[in-house]
Amino acid sequence: MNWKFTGVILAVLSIFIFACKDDSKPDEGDLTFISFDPVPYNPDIPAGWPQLEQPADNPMTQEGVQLGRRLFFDPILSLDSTISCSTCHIPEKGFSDDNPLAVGIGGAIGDRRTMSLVNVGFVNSGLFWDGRAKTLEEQALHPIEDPREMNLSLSEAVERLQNHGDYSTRFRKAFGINHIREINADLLGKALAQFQRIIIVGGESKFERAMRGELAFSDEELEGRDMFFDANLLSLDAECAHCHNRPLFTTNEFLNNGITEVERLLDHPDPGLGEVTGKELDFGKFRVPTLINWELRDHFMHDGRFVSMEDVLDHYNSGGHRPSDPDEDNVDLLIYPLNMNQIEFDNLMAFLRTLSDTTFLENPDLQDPFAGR
Amino acid sequence: MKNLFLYSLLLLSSLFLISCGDDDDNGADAVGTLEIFFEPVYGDSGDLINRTSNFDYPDGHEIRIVVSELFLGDLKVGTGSEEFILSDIEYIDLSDPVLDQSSGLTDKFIAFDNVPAGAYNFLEFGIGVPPALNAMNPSDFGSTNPLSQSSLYWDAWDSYIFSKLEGRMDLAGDGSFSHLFAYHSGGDEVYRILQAQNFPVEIRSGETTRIKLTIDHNKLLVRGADDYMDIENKPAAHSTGHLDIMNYLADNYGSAFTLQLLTD
Repeated sequence: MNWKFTGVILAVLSIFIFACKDDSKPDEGDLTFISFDPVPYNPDIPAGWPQLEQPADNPMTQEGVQLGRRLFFDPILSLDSTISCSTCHIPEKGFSDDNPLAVGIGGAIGDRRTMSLVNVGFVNSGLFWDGRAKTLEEQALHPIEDPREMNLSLSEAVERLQNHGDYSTRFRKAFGINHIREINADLLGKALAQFQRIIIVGGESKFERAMRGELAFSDEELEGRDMFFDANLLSLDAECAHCHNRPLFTTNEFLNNGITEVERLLDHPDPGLGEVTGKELDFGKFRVPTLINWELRDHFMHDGRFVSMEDVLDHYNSGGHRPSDPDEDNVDLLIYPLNMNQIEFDNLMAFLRTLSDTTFLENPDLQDPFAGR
Repeated sequence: MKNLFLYSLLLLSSLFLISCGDDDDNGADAVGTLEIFFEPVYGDSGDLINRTSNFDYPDGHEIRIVVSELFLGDLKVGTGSEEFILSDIEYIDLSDPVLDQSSGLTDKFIAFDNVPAGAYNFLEFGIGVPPALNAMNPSDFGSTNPLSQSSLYWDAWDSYIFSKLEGRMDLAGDGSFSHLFAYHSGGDEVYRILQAQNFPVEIRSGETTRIKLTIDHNKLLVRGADDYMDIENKPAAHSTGHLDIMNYLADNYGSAFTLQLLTD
């Protein structure tokens, strides 16, 4: 009887103890004790600029943007933690860099120049030089996995973030996840995309200010502007605005501008858009880059072949290269010898210099959060 | 018992009313689809334009049409007393059409769902952007609207580019086709409204009606043996200074279009 009684007591105690033990063991991945109250982020968009569209499942919030900002500047997303997105997309370089071709982990050299991220949130025609990513959310993950960029698998990147106390808190605050295991590549892409959408640059350029009547163009700039936009019958038409129209100074189209001398479409050393679409006619086509803040960059074109804007204008003035067989020619028809004289050339250069705007460097949301650390 | 009878009566009445409502809704939902297939050709042969196809030009040279794009504004079908707006703006790129051999139709088409069923007798549209929309600019539109594209807007005109017609001419006669031409048009003055009168289009509930719209690019450039666009000497129109060229093209659209109903 005693044994039986003792057994019952022990059983009851065991249940009690286990229950107590379960209650006392906190789930270390639980995030629900952290408040989730995101605040919408409303970026300043200059008057007359396009609408900044956001995916319904990734609206910009203060918390999301700040999380994206940290991830953008943090080398945690590279295999050996030596480089971050900002290593190649340097704010002071117009979110591009000094190199003719992108340089990744261990000095690996890519096939193309680092594309500027200026105003990338307005792109709706496909990201990268070749348009291979449809959304910023998708684009943001490519460099992490690319062996010649950050070379880190997304699973490893996610694991690092899940085990990082500060990031797990920030993912909770940005996306309302309940547990660290909910941090995944999808949310990583969303956070980086939110940050990239706020890289809005150019609203305080001399061009924009002159158009608002806040200051005046010089005579040279005015002549150059008329050439750029074909705004004056008496000025030479430099055909620039067809592809670099305001306000973004890119139409974000994919075009062949005749920089590569090939006789057959399939001879293009870099197929560009053609590699993505598989269409022969798309070989040698690349996304038109913005001219805003070109003065901050040291190399031009997808392969970084030109080292100055003068080189670029020389190319367009020459008319570029066209295959002798018209069947193999997909160079834009508005590329032809312009025959600019030196004065016209200088006027166009003067106008192009009005497209610089470095006020974005004072925007605290675009600055390196780890600076000085 | 009395209450039960009352409730039953109310229930039956409700069902009756609801079913009546359904009938009304079905009536209102009597809609069909209208598809317009474009056939961009050059000349009476009916050959499709293509960047690698050569066509004779009245000046003795051969040309190729590489780019043909245009806005269509205020598309509508109607009867004598009523009209239905299909769309306020459409943008169509006719360049390099691909023919589907089985259907005989190209890959250039636009479709309008939810067109009220009925017998219409005219189709109308404008070539270009209607003045009210042309007073706006790309920043006024979301990215899914063709009017949001800055590549289709020309600041110096304060206007959208209504149409683009670009190509090359074999001026040297050696097959090089190195003489390039590019005609872009824009500005309210160049907007033209075309109406196909006495063109019966019947939209049946739940069915698709198809129309083929042929655009003869020869008729866009050529009015007669001695009246044609001077591609050799005037190869470009990009500004208001070229209004004569733009108007010449705009006036030719009326004779360049042919409509054909594909379904009874």
